[in-house]
Parts: sequence; C-alpha cells; structure tokens
Amino acid sequence: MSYDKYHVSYIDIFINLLKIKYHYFMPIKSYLAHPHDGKKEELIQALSNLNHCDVIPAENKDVLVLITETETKAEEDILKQKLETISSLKLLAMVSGFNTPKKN
Amino acid sequence: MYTSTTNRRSFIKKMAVLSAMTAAATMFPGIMFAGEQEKNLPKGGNLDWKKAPCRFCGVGCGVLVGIENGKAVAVKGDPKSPVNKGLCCVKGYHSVMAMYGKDRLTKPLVKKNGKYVETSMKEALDLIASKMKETIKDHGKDSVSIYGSGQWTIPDGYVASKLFKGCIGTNNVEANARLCMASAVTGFLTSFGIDEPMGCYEDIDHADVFVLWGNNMAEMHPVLFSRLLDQRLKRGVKIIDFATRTTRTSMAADKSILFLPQTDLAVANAICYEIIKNGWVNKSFVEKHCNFNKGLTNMGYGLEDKYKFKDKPEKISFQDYKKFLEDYTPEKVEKISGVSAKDIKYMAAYYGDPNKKVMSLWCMGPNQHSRGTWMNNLIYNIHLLTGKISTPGNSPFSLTGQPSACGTVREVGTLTHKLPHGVVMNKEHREFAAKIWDVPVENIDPKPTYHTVEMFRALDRGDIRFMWIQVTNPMVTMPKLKRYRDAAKKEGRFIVVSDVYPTPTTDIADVILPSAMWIEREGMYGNSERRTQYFEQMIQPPGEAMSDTWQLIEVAKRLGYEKQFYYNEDTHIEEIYTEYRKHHDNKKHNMAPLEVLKENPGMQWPYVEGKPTQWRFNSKYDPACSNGEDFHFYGKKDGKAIIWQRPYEPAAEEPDAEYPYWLNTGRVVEHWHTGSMTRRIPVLHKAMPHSYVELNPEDAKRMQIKNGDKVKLTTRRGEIILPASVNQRGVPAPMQVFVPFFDENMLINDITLDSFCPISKEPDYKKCAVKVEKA
Repeated sequence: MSYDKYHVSYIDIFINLLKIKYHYFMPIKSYLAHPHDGKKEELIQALSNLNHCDVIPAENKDVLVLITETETKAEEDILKQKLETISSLKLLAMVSGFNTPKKN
Repeated sequence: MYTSTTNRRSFIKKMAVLSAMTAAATMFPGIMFAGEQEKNLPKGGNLDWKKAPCRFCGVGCGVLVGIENGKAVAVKGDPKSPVNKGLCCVKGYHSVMAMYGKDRLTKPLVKKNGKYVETSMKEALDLIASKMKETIKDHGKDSVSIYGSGQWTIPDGYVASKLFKGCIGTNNVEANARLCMASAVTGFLTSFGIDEPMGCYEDIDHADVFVLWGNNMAEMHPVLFSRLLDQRLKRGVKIIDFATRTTRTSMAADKSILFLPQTDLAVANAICYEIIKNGWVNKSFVEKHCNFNKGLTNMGYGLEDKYKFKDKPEKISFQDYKKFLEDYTPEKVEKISGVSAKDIKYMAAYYGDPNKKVMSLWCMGPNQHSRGTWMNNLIYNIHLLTGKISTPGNSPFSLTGQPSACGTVREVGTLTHKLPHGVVMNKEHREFAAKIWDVPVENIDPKPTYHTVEMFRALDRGDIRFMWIQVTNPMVTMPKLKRYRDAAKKEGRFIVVSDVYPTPTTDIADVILPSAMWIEREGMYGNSERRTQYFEQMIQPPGEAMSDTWQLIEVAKRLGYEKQFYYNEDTHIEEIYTEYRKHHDNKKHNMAPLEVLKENPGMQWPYVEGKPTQWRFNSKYDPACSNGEDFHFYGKKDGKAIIWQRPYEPAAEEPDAEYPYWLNTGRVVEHWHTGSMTRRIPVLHKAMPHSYVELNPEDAKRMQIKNGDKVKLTTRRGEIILPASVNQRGVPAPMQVFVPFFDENMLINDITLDSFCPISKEPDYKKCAVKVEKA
C-alpha cells in the first residue's frame, strides 16, 4: 500500500499557501516525516537535535509531524540540506507552508 | 476561537501543526498525538476537564473537554471510553472550535419586508406560537410540522414528539435520519421485529474477518476503523472492502472488491447461494430460530407525489428460497455486478467458514439505496443462514452517521409513524404513550402522515403551511433540492429554523432562532451501539441562544400545554429523561438512570438489574431472552428472525445514452455533513476548502480533463460545475463520478434524484444518471 498519492494531494491543497510571497520572512512549514522500519526513535532524536525544528511523534503510528521555523530563506535551505542527510528518514512530505512577518 | 489570545505567529505555527496532524489523521485513521494535544494547552490555566460524547458522528466517541474561564479551549479523547479508548478523529479534536465561529447566531431574527430584523427571544417565540395557532385554525392540525435530526439530543426529540404527536395531534414529525438510517430501521424491523444492532463495538475485538459493505470507514468512522487496523496488527484479521469506488478504506483493506451500483443486491444473494450450495448453513440454528418470507417486488421508486407502498409478507419454505437463489449463482451474478465469481466465492467462504467470526459493517451504501430495506435484509440473511449473529465477533452491524440518530430519532421515535415505545398505528402503544404524556389518547392520530421527502412535497403542494426545522440543513441535503427550496419560498408558508450558524436553510426562514450548541446546554446522545451518553452544560451559550429543548417547551406553553410541559428550567433535562425512561421500562429496552449515565462513559440499553446488555437475543447476555433456547429473537411474536427472499432490481435511474455516467454522492473526513460547523474550523476548512468531482483517470484522460479543471455535470434535474479531482483521495470506477455534499456553494443535491426505498422511504443519494463534460 502506498500513501504517496495522498501526500501529493495535501501539497496540492496547500499550494496556494506556498505561493505567498516566497521572499517574505520567517517561513513556518509542517511536514510528515516517515522513518525507515524500526528507526522511529532514531529519527526523533536526529530531528530533535536540529535547530529550528519541532518534532511531534505520533504515539501509535510510525510517522512524525515536523515543524520548521526559520528566519530566512537561506537558513531554511541550510536546514533542508541537513534534513536530507538523516539516514533514518525515509520520506519527508510537506503538508503546509506559511510565511509570516518577523513581527506581529 | 481559542487562539485569539496568542499572537499571529504562534497561531500560524499552531495552524501548521494542526494541518500536519489533519493530514496524518486522514492517512492513518486513529493516529494519536495526545501528548501534543496536552502540551499545547494554555499554560498556567485552571483547565477543568469534563466528559461528553463527541458532537459529530454516530460512533459516539467519548471526549474530555477542557474548560478555562468559561470557554471550551481543548479536547482530548477520553481514555475511559470503551468506544474510542482515548482516540479521536480530526473533527473530534477540533470540535470545540466549531462553537466559536465569527458568525454565530446570537439573536433571534424575524423576516420583515424581506429583511431579517433582530428581535427578542420572547417576541420570536410569541410569533412562532401565534403563527402555529393561526395555521392550525386555518388549515388544520396536519398543516404544521417539525423536522429535526439525529443531532437532536434525546430531550429535544422527546419534547418535539410530545408536543406535536401528543398535544397538537399531528404525526408531522420527521428527522433527517430518514435520509440516512431509515433503511437500517426497516431492515431491523422486517428481519427481527425490533430496531438497532444486536451486537456492539466490542465485536471488533473478537471478529476474524470484517466485510465492509459500501462503507468508507476510514473517512466516515475513522476511530472505529483504527480499531479494525489495530486488530489486524495484533491478530492478523482480514478486512474486505466491498464498494463501488476505491477509497482510503480500499487502500487500507486486505482486499478491495468493486461492484457496479445497485448490484450489491445480486452479490448478497450469490453469497447466500454459495453458503447453501456448499453446505455451510447452520442447520440447527436456522431450524430453531428462523422463518423464510418473501415480499412484493417491482415496488417502484417513490418518484411521484403521494406514492404509497405496503409490503405483503408471505411465508415460504427453505426449498422455495433455495430455488429462488438459483438465479444468483456466482457466474450469473458476475455478469450483472462486475464482481468475479471467484471474488463472490471468496467472500462467501469467509462467511461460511465455521471457524471464522465475521463482522459485516455498513452505513450509507446499503441504506441510501432504492432497495435499502432489502439490502439490510440480505446482509442479515447471510448471518442468519450461518448462525453468525448475536455472539461476540459474529455481528451484522449497521453503523449510524449522526451522534443521536439512534438515541433520538430511533429510540425516542421522531418519525411520523413512531412513538417512543411502538408505533402510532397500534392502539395499545398510543394508550401507553398518552398515559405518560398526560394527554387524551384520542389526541394521538393513528395514521402516519408524511415521511421526509413527502413532507417537503406537502410543503410544496400547500398541504403543510408551517414547518419548524431544528439542527439540520435540508436546503443542502434534500435530494432534487431545487423543488423543495422553491417550495419553502412560496407564499403562505411559514418556516422557523433553529440553528447555530447561517445556512442555506436559515435563508428560507421567516424566523431564525439561535440555538445553544452541544455543551452549551445539557443533554444526551445515543450512539450506534445502543450507548446513551450524558453531557452537562459546560459553558454559557452566546447572546440569546437557547437550547432546542427549551425553545420547544416555551412554545408549547404558549400553545396552552402548560400541564404537559411542567418542567422547571433548572431541572428540565433530568425531568424529561426520567419521564422518557418510563416509555422503555421493560427488559427489552430499559434505559439506565441518569445518575448512572453521569458517572459512566455512557451505558448500553437494555440496562437490566444494573447491567448493560452487549449482545441482544443471546440468552447468555440478554436477560430479555425467555424461550429457554440459546437465542431468542423476541422482536417477533414467535421468537424467530426472518430470512427474506429479496431479488435484484435496477435503480430508479440508470445511465443511458444521454446521461451515461453514474453519480454518487457522500462525505469527506474533514467535514461534518453540510459543513455548517466544520467549515468554520480554519484547519478543517483549509484542508478541504471546497467540493469537487472525482473522475476515473481513464475517463478524465479521454475527455482531456486534468486535476482542477472545471467539469460540468448535467442530470435531468439541472447542472453544476465543479473542479475535477483525478487520482486524488478517491477513485471512482469507469463511467462513475463521485461528489461530496458538504459545500453549500456547490449544491450537488440540486441535481440528484428524489427516488427512495419504498419500504423505508430513505432516498438513494448514491445513484442517478449524469452527463459529464469538460466545462
């Protein structure tokens, strides 16, 4: 069974949010992070060690919610590169992206 | 909503979290982030957690609502609830936010010169009462009506029935459960003589195989579906999805079997054929506990006004039944249904295997069906032939869609023919009700009047002049909607609508009453497994909003029924429930006392000698069994259930050259029914902002339709344009399309057909013919 099509679906649903002026400040994004088999704890640890990341593991399923909150686009790109190197991460599917002003 | 005190950024971050959780929950039904739920709660507050049944679907999950400073700020699953064991779906987790939409109705509105004018509650109630008196005087008692719902609390429905049936003397009482559960009721009554499931959710923990009959549980009953998935992990149970469309349930099932619309009738008969042919009949069970009947066929579809049908049951022998089934060999049915003979035999083999416990689950698929009663009968036939019924894990289980479709509509009896105990046609039942209601028995009319579709037709014709609509949104949900919308706007009609938000139904109202919602008042719901759950008033309703129960009581008093509506404002819910329990004071249906409901996460009826009954009709568990046998189907006079001979017949309107596709309608996980509450919850609205039409990818490719393209759907009732959904959440079979009905801006029911099951009078929302074009 594959859930990939649903990830695509949710990205579609939130695509308008992603189209908000991308050069704006402080992007906040949420993802579903899927670990490799038996690597959930390792993935929680790896993500928790990164700056700008909040991790919310599901209690009863092998999936984590990852929230990233960065100051700038450059900072976000660096974070993305770090995420790509995590070996326990099987799939990272973006769910929503918000860009907000730095100050209210 | 409860983020109002936080800054914009933290709100947006919370939105991001909720978006991800919503996505996760729709992919993994029953997924828990309970720790996160608690972590996000307001810091330093004095949260007071109070238990309630969830506001939304018929599963009846127990939730704990966090109250802070008079506001409901959080929800979590109640770990003590045997229904959901601490789980919640996305709607449940966000349910309290539904009370805090910006456009909550807070003041009564009266239409004057085409405009709504704010007025006091007293003035509005006075107007309603005077209009009712005037209408009854001018047009007779059967010109006034009330239309409620399976979201009515038990006290709401009880006082509505007492006022209209007992005091005014009209049987013009209906509820939207007619649109979703009526076929389940008539299925139970014809097969067993008594309503509601014999089993319970605990069957899930015992069954080896689950057959889902046209039931997208992953989206519609996600918490229960997660219990199925959990059992698969623990015990390796099998889940078979038998449906007309590929859904998330199909994806998660062990086997997905697709059938052509309406042909589930033929497949169910073919399963029975296989059971008999292979010697899998539980002969001793059938001989002791079952009769065989046949009824009338070619009943029509109720398309014409004032359509009448009365079945004529006739006893037949097992041999007659066996001969009838010869038309339903798997090979013959394969040609009708598109289901391979191999797959039919595969399902039959599970039902027939004496070492496998089988649970059948269904909801709208077999119910919203032009032969809905028959479909319910046929599923029971399978379980009765094999004796797989009323024992843990062997369970034909009809699920409900609304939080109190069972508790209020079916048990209180808010349908035209029903009384809390029994039916209006029965003299003893009328006498019994009249005594409790303290009204002359002559007040209760022995003739049922209008079922829901006919009630709206009567409004169109002018036979009904006054209609009070509470907790439901028929101007989105009625099939062939345009006729009934136009009807409501006709001169000489007076419509009262009690609701919490503006809807297309409040648009047709002459008076709009703001209602107290869910935990803003006290009440009870009854769920699918005969569990009655109490909730206290936890917060104050906004403005002048008032519970539907008290609105009705106020009007009843104004109509002169002070004696019958003696209730005290502070204690009326307890008084009403205590009075209501008298109607069910017997071993077959006794309801638990209020103090028991208050102390427990609900209690199942029959509640006898301090104990709930989990499996009815089984003498090991059910104290109402009295025949000295293992099983006693006491709903029937001879104590035997009925195996019905019911044929396959086509739908009212099938695809043809002009309208070559099937149109199917239904729901999505994010939204509750017409979305009037859930579309005001930002995260749910953003996750599913508008309706769409699902197409089969091959059909879409042939018509050069891509995801998001505009598609025109045309039926004999009209046309609508919707964005295409191709290879997204659900995938219809070729030459079929699916449209959800939650979006009031894209009213799919403008083009559906108002055909219905002639026995249950429940409309078939799943089948009509449609033309599909790129717009």
